[in-house]
Amino acid sequence: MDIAEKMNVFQDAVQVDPRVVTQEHMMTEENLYIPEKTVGAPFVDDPKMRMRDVNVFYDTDQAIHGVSLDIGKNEVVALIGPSGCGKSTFLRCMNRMNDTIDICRVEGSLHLENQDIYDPKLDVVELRARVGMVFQKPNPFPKSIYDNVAYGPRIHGLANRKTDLDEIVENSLRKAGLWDEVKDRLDSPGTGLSGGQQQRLCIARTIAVSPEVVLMDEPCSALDPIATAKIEELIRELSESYTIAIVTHSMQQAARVSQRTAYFHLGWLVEMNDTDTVFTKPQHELTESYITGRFG
Amino acid sequence: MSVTTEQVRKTLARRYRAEKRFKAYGICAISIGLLALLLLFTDIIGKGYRAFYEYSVALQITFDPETLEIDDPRDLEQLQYGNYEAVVREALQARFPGVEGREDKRALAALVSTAAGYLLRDMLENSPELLGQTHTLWLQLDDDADMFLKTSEAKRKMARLSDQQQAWMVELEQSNEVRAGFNHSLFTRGDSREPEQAGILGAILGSLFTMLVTLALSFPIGVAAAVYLEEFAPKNRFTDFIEVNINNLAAVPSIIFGLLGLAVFIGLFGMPRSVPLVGGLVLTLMTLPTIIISSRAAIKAVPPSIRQAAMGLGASKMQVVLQFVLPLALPGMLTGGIIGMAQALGETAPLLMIGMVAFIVELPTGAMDAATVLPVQVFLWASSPEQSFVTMTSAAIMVLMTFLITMNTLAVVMRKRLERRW
Repeated sequence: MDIAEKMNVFQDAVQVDPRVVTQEHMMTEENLYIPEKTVGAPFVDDPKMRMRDVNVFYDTDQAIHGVSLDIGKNEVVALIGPSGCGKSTFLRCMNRMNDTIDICRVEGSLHLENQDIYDPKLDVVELRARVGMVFQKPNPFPKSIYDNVAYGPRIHGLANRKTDLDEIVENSLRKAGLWDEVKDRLDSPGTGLSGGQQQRLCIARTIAVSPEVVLMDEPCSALDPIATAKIEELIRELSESYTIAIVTHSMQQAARVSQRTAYFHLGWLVEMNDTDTVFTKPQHELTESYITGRFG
Repeated sequence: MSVTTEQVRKTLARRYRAEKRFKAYGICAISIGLLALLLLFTDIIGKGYRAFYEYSVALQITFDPETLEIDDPRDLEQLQYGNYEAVVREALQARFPGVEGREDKRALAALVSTAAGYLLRDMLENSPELLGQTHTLWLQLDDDADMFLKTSEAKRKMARLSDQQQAWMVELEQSNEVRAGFNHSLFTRGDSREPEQAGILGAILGSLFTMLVTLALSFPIGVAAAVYLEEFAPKNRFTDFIEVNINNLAAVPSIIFGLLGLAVFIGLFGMPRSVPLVGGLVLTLMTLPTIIISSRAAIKAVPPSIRQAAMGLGASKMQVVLQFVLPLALPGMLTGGIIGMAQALGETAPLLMIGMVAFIVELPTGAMDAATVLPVQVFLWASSPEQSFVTMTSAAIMVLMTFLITMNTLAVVMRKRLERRW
């Protein structure tokens, strides 16, 4: 094959293969291929959540392409990648929040321990009690602080007596590091708190149902650095008892809080490995380009 | 000075002028609106205030057993057929002894309302010992005599009284034998052919029952339809079709709903005519689109973050709707509901079709009694020939407006009360 032929093949590839990362997405001159198979170590032994060949479609647009990865027990996994790479979409598959979008279709197998998450017989209510979620923007209910935290336990019937409920509320607020700030005003509205406090209230609300897994979708993107530091501290503490998957745009944050990091690109999972390895010795050029800030 | 600054300075004056012009247009538009409202109110109040008081005349009434043809006031049948008008006639002739001749005597008797006879009967029924006694009583004047006293001196020549009757009235007025008092019958009676005996209570009650039926049906149905369409319905051709048709329904002329009510409720289901129940059903059909559209808008305005938060915690669809969406959308829904109700309260055309335009004297006691409603009463009175009905019409409009303004104020207050800030 002479040079000209090679160029032709290459240009054909550029046109038909969506895995070619072109200059649109990059500031560098070179073109990079997304690997056929995820680089690094996406699987662990005895995982809490096991995802295999997950494809997600919005109508006819494919947002996730054959992603396979594991989330280990009591592990914090960070999902990073440029905007629109599908990391939030993937996160929302894990507790079927995508169900609410009519045009969204999920393929592949997703398991929480031995439970198939997309089993039609599975009740999403039960699933969401086991896999809680914290959203990008703090979204407390327009209720009192107490009722915000007590809402989950109430609808799931976790506490039969007022004293039990009080205990759950106090414990959750303590775990979320908010108890000392709000213990004297549990009856005031949750929406009256500051942004950082609201987000911690949302975390307290999520852990009040004692989920096994907590999904966090850019929980600090609307917060200032001090509030962010508090939330990060909280995530580290929570990882002792919960399994956490966190989507973040901040690579420093991923490095600070997570044990393993997954790098998504245009809907493909490019690389997944120990956080240290990903940030110090990335194995794929795309990952390296991203973490060194050559595109985003 | 830089070139840019110079350029900006040049355009600045023009921009400010444009701004001022725009403001002036706005003020103009608002002034025209306010002026129209002011004109409307001055006209209506100017005409209508006179209906709220009425004149009565003081007469020496003798409950003469012979004239009354009553010997036992405890006998209800005798009371029923007593000749009370003769007593009033005699009292009038005693006041004006010079009146001779049938014509003149009839003209004199016509000054006092026929309602005076009913008053005397009721007095006699309540206290039978009055028989044979003489008392000075204030008796209601006939509408033409009443109108004569209510008009200013200059316009009295136009009154519908003969010169002789006018002379009698002036004499009574000058000797202070007439006085003005609050027009109780306006608020305590149903319709009547005699303006001085006509009241709007019948129409108010009719409106009340009609509104109750409308509210009880349209609000729950409208909200349920809105919640289903917004929260549960799949998005497909069929729901699109329904949505388009709801919007179309909102634009259908109200008289069409009246025809529908006539054909379906009265024709097909055999419901009685002229009853508030059918009126309420027709107005329900008419207000449903308004309520559905405003309720859907209110539901759409609930931030999706709250839904997601609740669902993320494992709340079921039903719990999300009942515990978060509905409470947050309620102020908007109520506003839509009350505006729909106000619209229904002022509606005339569809009710004409189902016979609520009938002349009904009896006060309705429920949704199944024949009745009319306030706007139809306005329509009825406006088409009556008696002069007094002109003022009565304006008075009825004032009452209707009071209800409408109260309802709209209520809508604003409720929205402010229930609104929660984020």
